[in-house]
Amino acid sequence: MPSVFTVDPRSGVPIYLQLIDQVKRSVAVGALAPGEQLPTVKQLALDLTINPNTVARAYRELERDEVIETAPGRGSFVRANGATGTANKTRDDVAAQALSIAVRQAKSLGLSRLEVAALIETTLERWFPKEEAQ
Amino acid sequence: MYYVEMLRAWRVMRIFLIILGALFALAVIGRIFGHGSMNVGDYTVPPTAQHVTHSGSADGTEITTFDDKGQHVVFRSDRSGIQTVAVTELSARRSRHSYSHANFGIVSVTRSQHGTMTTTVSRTHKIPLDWLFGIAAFFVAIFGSILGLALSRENDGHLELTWTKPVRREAYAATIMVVDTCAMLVLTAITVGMCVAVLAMFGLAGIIVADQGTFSTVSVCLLFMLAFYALAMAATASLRRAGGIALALIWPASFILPGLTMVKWLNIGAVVRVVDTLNPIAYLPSFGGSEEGAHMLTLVPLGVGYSIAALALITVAALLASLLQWRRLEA
Amino acid sequence: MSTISIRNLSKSYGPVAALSEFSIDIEKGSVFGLLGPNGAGKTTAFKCMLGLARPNHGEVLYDGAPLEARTFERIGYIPERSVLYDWMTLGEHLEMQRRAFSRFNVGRAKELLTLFSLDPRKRVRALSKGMRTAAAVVLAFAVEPDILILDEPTTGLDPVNQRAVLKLMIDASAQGKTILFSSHQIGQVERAAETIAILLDGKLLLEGAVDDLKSGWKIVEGIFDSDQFSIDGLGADPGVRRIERTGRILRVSVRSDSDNVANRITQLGARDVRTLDLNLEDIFLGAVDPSANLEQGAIVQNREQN
Repeated sequence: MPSVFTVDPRSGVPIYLQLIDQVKRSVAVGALAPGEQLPTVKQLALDLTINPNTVARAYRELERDEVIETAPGRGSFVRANGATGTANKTRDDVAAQALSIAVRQAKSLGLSRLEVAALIETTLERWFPKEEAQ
Repeated sequence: MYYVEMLRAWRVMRIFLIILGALFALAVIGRIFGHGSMNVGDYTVPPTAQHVTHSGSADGTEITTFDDKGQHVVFRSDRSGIQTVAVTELSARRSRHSYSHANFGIVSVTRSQHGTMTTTVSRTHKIPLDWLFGIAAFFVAIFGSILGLALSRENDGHLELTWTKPVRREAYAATIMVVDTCAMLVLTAITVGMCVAVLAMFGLAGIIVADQGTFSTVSVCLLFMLAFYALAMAATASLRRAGGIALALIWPASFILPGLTMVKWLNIGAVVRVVDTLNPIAYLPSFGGSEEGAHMLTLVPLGVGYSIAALALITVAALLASLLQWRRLEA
Repeated sequence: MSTISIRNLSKSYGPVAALSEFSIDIEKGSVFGLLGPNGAGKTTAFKCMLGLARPNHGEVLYDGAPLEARTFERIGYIPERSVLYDWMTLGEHLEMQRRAFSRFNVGRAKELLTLFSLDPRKRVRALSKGMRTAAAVVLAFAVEPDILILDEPTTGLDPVNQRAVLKLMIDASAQGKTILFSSHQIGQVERAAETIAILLDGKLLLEGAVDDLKSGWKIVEGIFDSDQFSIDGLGADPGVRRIERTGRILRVSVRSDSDNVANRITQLGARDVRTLDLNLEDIFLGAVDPSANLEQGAIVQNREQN
């Protein structure tokens, strides 16, 4: 059972949302395999030192979003199918938001659209060197 | 729920038992050191004695003399129950001793200038059993007044612990009272027992007597100490810190008040008499049975029966008052 | 039916109203955090709830019934300060609890003593403040209560033991126990509580689920070129709860569903408009100390809103 989740209680983002996000990311990235068992509510609450009802709420929403499924008496497991689709959407959302913030900041510094585009191209070069460009 | 109070009562009783133990040890020491000259109890002639003589006279007096361990002993017992032991050092030590005499009522000891120690025991004296209870009652009343601080001690920062138990406050206070009462009765028994043991050590156990009046006077003694306990508790049940001070005031007050009832000026005496009705000490003279003089001290005529009733009433009323005060407190 | 239901609880000490019309509901199995500055009335609330003080009016119900001696079988209480008997040993305290509470679990008590490294043979007067708090924790939890009422349960504890107490609370909550606790440490409340209430000067300022409070409000921040900017029309938006300006920075606390505010601020000429999430500390300070930035001549308008 992975205990790779971390939450920041001091963040303005509700803990249950952070947890949902982390599980979705893990599934999207493959850190959580389909069919893999998640920690019990109680165990996760103790590990992270957070309220167990918060964990339970996160699990409920994950189940509603069809990322995990809970079998009474047996525990919670990553759904074997369909989970990846939702997780991918999360991945796209987070990436889009990060880019949006970056562009807005650049704009507020006074750069024009052309200048921002040029910067983006340079940044892409840096992170996706020509040999690995798709 | 009586556990804490048992621990607390035991802690205080230990001190009183130590005091009793020390007194008992003193008595034992006195007994051992005074061996030669105070052994008038059941007098037996030691086997190493020499020149033993016995004689008796017509009026029932018996005299036994012998020498033993460098001492000359004359033992005299007469019919009226008075026994005398005179022990004289035979050694060449002709030093002059100073004359001294000590009188303990039943026993008196005289040392003559020639070094003769004479112990006289008057077996016609009787010690009523209720006197022993009377002594014990005073001793235990002090113990009881300290125990009476129990509720006050709880108030000093422990109520959050005491009042969050699945026990009603009244029940809790009541168990405290039961534990304390038992502790006082136990200490009384031990004290009386010790007095009897000391007397027995000196061979005087036989002089303790009891008659049909003893039971009621013993009851007065027991109720006296219970009343003191109850009054101490009633006076301190609402206090947090000042319990000790309150006690320090109660004791002298209870001794002084009976005296003040004699004051005629401004009718103070009459007023004090009313207050004195609550004073357990005022009920003690009913022992002696002299009702006329004793009547001055309280509103209640001081016969033994009245005293018992009054003291019992004071005890119950004071305990109730303590309970009612205590349960109204806030933490 | 709530496990604990408090209605209009009010308590005055002389002329001072320590608690006014305090009303909250605590559901079974939840963890409820009570926050407030010193003297806000938290301890008074606890005392009234436990019958240690008599409220002037109001009522407290446990599963619908008023408090009686029997109810304490199910309640574990940690008072704000040490109430143990100096002259008794820890072991004697545990024995006292064992005799008084039918559900006292000796094994659990031993586990807890070990957890906090407490020696039952030691007299309480030989214990440090932190150890006394730990002892109080042991006494409360060893009784296996259904309801835990904890007044600053981590006072004087080192960080390791503080964490241990939090985990005890979380474990109890996972078992379905109901917990009401007060703490100065917002971090602890943020972790352990799912519902909170904020008290100030005896009055309830705010109550709600932590997640809802966090996601329900946000701060929209705008940075202007000079400190002479206008805030016309901002107050008109009903979602706005608080406007705070310091120098060139404008911060508006607004309900999360109010999108207009960010636009309005941009229209007023802000260079950079950001939306920030509120954490519990922000929420707490915002409720309790509205004049936080007053010293720089800033204007603060605080509108009383839900």
